[in-house]
Amino acid sequence: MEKPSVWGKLYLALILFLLYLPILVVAAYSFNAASSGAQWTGFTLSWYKKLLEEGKYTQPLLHSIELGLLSAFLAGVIGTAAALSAATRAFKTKGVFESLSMLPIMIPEIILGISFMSMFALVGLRGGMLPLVLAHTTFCIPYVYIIVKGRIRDLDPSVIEAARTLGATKIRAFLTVTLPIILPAVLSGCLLSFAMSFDDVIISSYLRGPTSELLPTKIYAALKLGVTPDVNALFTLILGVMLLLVATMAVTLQIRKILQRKVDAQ
Amino acid sequence: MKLPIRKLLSLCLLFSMTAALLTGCSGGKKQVNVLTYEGYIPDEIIADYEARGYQVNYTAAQTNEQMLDLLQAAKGGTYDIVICDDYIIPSMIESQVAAQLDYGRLSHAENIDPHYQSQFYDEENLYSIPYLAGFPLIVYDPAQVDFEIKGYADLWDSRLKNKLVILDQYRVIPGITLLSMGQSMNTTDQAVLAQCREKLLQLKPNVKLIDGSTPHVALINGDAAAGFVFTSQAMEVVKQRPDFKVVYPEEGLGFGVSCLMIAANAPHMDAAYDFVNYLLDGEVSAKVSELINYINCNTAAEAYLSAEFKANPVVYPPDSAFPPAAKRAPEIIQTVDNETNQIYDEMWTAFKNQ
Amino acid sequence: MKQEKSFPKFLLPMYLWAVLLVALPLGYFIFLSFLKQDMTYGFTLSFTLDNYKRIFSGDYQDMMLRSVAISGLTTLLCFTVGYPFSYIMSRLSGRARSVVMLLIVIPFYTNSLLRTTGIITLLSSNGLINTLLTHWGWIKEPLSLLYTPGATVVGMVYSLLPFMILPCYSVCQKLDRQTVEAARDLGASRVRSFFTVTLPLTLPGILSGCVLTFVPTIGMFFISDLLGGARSSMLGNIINQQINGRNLPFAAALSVVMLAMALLFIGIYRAFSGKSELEGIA
Repeated sequence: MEKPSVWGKLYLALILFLLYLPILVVAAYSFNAASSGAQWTGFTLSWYKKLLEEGKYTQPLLHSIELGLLSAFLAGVIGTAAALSAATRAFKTKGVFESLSMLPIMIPEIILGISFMSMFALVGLRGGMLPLVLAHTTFCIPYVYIIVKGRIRDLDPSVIEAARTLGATKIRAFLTVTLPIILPAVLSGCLLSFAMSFDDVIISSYLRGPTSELLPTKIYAALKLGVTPDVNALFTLILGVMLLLVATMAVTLQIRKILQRKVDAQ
Repeated sequence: MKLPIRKLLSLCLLFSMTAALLTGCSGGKKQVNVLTYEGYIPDEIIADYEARGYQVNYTAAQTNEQMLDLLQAAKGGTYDIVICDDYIIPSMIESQVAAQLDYGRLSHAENIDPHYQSQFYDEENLYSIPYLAGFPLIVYDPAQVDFEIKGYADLWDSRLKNKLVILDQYRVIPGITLLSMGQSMNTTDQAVLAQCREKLLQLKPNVKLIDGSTPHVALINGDAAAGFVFTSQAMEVVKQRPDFKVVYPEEGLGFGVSCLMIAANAPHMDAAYDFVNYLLDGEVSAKVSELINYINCNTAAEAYLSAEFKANPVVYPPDSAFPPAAKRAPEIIQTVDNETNQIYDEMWTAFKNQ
Repeated sequence: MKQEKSFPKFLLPMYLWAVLLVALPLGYFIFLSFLKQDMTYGFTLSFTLDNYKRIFSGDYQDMMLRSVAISGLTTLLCFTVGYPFSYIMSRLSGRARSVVMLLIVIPFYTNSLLRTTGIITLLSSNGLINTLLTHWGWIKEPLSLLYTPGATVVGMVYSLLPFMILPCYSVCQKLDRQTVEAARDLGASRVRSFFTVTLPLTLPGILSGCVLTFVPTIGMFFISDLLGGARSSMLGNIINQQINGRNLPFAAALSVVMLAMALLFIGIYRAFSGKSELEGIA
């Protein structure tokens, strides 16, 4: 296979640099002394102190995590179940229902947000986590469904049939053969769902309640006030945790590889 | 996606799950749910109040209409306290989302400055308590604007082309357009409104940014040279850019009062009164005013306000801003009928979409 | 495996969900678009076509054209930048590939709003770019970069680029090298083999990427809100503004128009790619 040229690699590096530039700027400005504005006025750690002391973003952060987990879990169950049966069956109304189920990620988010808002207001569902969980699960299901279904389609059906012929029950065949194979796909569907839920501003902003303020909507409100150094600090902390996890992962993998090699050698 | 990402992310999941479990229990604190603009009750005040054993759940709305909408959807419940502007109050009262105040439970009712009471929106003061007041002003950078801005009419000057930032308020900007024409901000005269629309649309070439919440940032950063902004925002500009000039428009000032109200079916009625009483305390009220730079509406706060703050010309405009030097006395934006409201709304949308 | 004809019960939860939480809210919403606004109560139950008449009255034509132009330009730029990126990335060694993939995905887990404020800091009159350019003496007056339609496009490309890269990468990765090499062996030039073999083979990914960038941009109000200034408000902004201004029926009518635009675009995608699902969404 043809390897990319130096120019090609440079291009990748340039785009990645541009992709990270605003992120780096935000991180840098979390140390800026001025409370608003783009001018650099000096180095300070006071925004981190303010962030940790006031704890203004702790609740919203936890709400966002909770919501992400709940929606990813629900979508994981519903989407996987549907994908398992859809991949192997054909029936008349499949096309219509499938398109309807996939609609949430095909149409602009604002439409979904406003229609949830008016619908939930009509049935008196307002405030708390429930409306948010319902809405987020709705746009998470398609991700899980598409990923898992794709995986099942690539699956060699003879493997499961072999298990069945060898006397495994339907459930046993599912648990010992199908599930382990699709599990990575289910997991990546759930993780993508979590990411989408965690960063959603548009839909959440129409469904907020007093006891369920989320991180993205809280940040949007802070941006609307124009004073964001403590939010920048929070952003930098989250980014730091992410990078730390990546580094840990890389190191663990590396160590495991070395260990494996040693075991193999013995 | 490749393997490491999945593993990494499952680690994240695990981590966040533990975090969620650890903090699922927020303790048996008394709750109070507040609905208002972001930052309208300063963080310091909330922290002080929470130290008394309450938890304040703060919902930030961007507009008065949004607050009304949230309250109506909750049928006057869910929230305990709302702080909103004058003109929306009649709608709040009419749709029964605001509670009649029980003055027996207001321990500092005597602190309320009667000067800001008994306005058109609540003549008998049955529902609302004035919280803060302010006059939106023009501020500009003399280094970038080579003529003197005296009033609203100057905002149409072609020398301000693409240099202006204005508030995102569908009644305020048509309102100052009317003032620049020598008309009332609350006119319902169709012919005058048609002229107003015409004139408003001519302002567009000068407007760089329409922003209700952070116009001061554009001014401080130098992305706009002149702006029509709220008191608090004007203060923020002057604090960071002392070279900016503040203008009290000669056509007369607009004036606004924001009020505290209790939701009709507030889930934490006792906490709501407790928090209102806290905010009506003279010392607390003075602190609120000085922190976010609006006119204080509390007679007991007088003693706690610094002389420097009381002499601040941005918050308390000098006599020259009022008649006879100005052409009109300050005017509050009032609720108008549905049809007229739609005319205001349509001219504003047309203006924004131009 | 045999294709079973019966209606499977495991599909029921998802279909039920789709009916209750997708079809029903959208249906109710379309119904709302035919009602009249009311200042106090939001809307009244009287049927009217005024909301639609207002949209096509002429006040909104510029805005609609601008929306489509900004979304189209964003999609085009995402493609021009993202396609070569995906192609080169797919030819990296396995390890380097997962590192690059990781770098693309990490920003997803941070906050998109704050990434947008990073752009404000860069583009502002006394922001990083203008300060550097003035410092090096390349310009005298700061350039007016922020609060322009251009800034909106930059912000959108920045937010949506990964959505172009992921599907394109997915098809480039599956690309059968032998076919491409065979074309080269048969004497086709590099350019020719690209246009006759590589491009058609990767077309599903490109089209999917276009849907994944174009459709969100028409509804993404917060980017043009934060970066765009007074002359780049888009359909999404107007809808959000109407919601905040309590004109739900008019917002609903505008959303129906937006929905029609999105469905039209998806229809075009299906017609061209012959697929109902989006390629490489994971």
